[in-house]
Amino acid sequence: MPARLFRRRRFLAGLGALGAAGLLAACGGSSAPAAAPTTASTGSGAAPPSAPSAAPTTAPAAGGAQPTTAPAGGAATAPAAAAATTPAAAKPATGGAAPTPLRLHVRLGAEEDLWSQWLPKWEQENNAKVELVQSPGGEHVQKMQTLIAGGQLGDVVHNFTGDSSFQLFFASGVTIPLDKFIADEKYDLNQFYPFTIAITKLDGKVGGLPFKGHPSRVGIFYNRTLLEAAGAKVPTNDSTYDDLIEAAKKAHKPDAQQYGWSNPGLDSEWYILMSRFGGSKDIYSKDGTKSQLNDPEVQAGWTWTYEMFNKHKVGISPFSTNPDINQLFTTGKIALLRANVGTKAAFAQIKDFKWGMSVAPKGPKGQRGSLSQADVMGATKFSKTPDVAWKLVKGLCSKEAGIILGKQQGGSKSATPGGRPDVYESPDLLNLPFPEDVQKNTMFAMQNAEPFTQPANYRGPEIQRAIDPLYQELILDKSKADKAFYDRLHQAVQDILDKPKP
Amino acid sequence: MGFLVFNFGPLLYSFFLSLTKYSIVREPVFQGLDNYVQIFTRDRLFWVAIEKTGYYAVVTVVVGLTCSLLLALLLDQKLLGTSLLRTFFFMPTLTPVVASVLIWGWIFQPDLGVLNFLLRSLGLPGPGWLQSVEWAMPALLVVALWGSVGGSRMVIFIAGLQGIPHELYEAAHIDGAGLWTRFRHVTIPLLTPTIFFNLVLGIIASLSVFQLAFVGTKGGPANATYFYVLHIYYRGFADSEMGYAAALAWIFFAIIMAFTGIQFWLQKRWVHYEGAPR
Repeated sequence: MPARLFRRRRFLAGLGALGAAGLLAACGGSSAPAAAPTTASTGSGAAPPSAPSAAPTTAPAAGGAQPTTAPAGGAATAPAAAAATTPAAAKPATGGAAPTPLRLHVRLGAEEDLWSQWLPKWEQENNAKVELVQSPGGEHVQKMQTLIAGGQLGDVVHNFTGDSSFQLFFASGVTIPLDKFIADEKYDLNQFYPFTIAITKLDGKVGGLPFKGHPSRVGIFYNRTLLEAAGAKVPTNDSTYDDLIEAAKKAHKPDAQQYGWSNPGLDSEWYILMSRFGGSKDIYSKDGTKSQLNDPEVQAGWTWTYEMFNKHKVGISPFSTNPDINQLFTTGKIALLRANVGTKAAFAQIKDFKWGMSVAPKGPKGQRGSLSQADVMGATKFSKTPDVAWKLVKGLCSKEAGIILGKQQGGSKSATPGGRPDVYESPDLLNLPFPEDVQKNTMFAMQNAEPFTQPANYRGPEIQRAIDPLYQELILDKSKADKAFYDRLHQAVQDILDKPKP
Repeated sequence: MGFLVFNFGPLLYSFFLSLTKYSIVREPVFQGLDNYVQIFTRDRLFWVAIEKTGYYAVVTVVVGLTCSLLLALLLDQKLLGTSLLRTFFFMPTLTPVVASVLIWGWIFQPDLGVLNFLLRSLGLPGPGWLQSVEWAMPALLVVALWGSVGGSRMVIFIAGLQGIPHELYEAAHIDGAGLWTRFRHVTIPLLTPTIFFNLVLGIIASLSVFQLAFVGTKGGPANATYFYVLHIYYRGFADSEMGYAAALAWIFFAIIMAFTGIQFWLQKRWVHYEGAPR
């Protein structure tokens, strides 16, 4: 009887060997970058693929720090101490060193043009290969949290001040301070708006650079065609809140599906802006520990908003989600809409009527009640090449990147530009084909943006959710804008401010 | 082995997390039963979520089961076009919840929506639907029932109906039983295992409602549709209180287990298995 070629034991042994080989291959992942094809231009072509990835990680510090060289096989095993090195002297790729791998966590779609128009060039100049990890905007922070829990976060993250994710990540050490890089390189932070830099600091340390910046929901978008047909005054930067009421009254014709006014729905930034209302006070005390919603000055904007919907009855509910109020404005059904200045990107498609944007009127105390906001790019503690991560952060917050962001239009793209004067004042953006004074007023609003405030315990989202139902009660006239309501509102916010940091 | 590693392990770990303060970005810190105490004594939204979820579950289970059964009875008849009708009623189940909520959102839009347009043309004032404190829950119930009445529950009922021996109906008919009597004394008793099956799954599914509110209302307006799983999600991912969210999840698990246990205990009294000893 001929011997059987495959016996069960042999088969199982082979299967085991295959499995072991697979495991070994998986565990040996750090050597993978060496095998990765290099995309950098090869000056000499002589350097073997396993040469240390010199350019990104060996730059000597200006202060004389010893270079940190990644071992052969790529940069993946470079110690975290590499943070001490400075990228100042890092040069574009030379030789055949394998590109440094980086992982960048961003939102899906919102900054799409940057990845196609800017990133490939940066990769080539810096001999790096960036893997984009994109998540839908609403799940972006949650996705990063999950990766943090599993120790799988990448090198650079896009996070936000408005939802406290920046503060939480930085305070807990997920993102690293950039002060060392800034000092070593004498990197000039004055190239950004001062308030956007102020936002990126916690306890005096810089936790990231302003990737984008905006003055929040300070735009009064108007449908000129509709207002003029109704004989109403078109708002300007000199209009008053009373002017807006009068214009909205004239334009409001619900039977004709034409509405005088709307403003943001469930929105934490809007709650802050209503509380400011051109006054000198805010929803939070300066140290972020006390609610000031028991102060009549802080309540004035809430009452004004309540009256637009329930006393003057000139508004369409801001809670409409499908279509939302932006879509309703685009279809010519809203005469006046208070919204984020960046919303103009969504209105760029309007062809059927004339529209424009002024900035919010000055309130009783002479201020417009805006709110400086910034998205932040930060380097993480998980990065094995933090100096290269820092270079990417810098690049993403550069003028060039900021302008590309500001020129985005269509789809789910965000047109909020970089938080820098040379971006906002760039002819590239000022000359974009927006109607009337939209671009000029956007710049004006940004130049005059008021400081960002936040709860000291970083519980911004929780506070928003506490306010949401009360704000809905107010707009839907389930509660009056009276003392009882404001007492509840104040207490709901204070209860959360009294909690410790998460 | 897979169950131990991928299911039971995380399950146990989540219980450990429920005893900790864990913000995801920091290491968990053990704090005993603090989360549980807070939930029952200081979390106002916990009770709101229980109330809203309970209301939603009662309506969707009672109305949903009844409608699915009636529809199954209708579609179990040997009539022309029955197969087509079965397909027609099953189709909403194939629509993803997110898509159906968005479509219904257009229909329910108070100022420009189709539904209120029709109501106004009849001289009736249309409510605010998803934007109304009173109407948001009924609107979500309509969406939920639209998507589930003709779905797998109905198919299971049809299968159950087809499993009832025809001779029993013939015998009852010979004994002079009318349509209602045959339904009450033949169909219902022999269908009780199917009803029980659908009831257990229906209660679990309805208590776990999430997408409808997450996409359609975010729990609003004024917490009118603030369901329990939404509360877990917000506490865990929005507020970075994963330990607290784990505790909420374990309470939820206990509630579902309790309901399921009660149903299994009660089934001895009303579920009739063919051939089972009396």
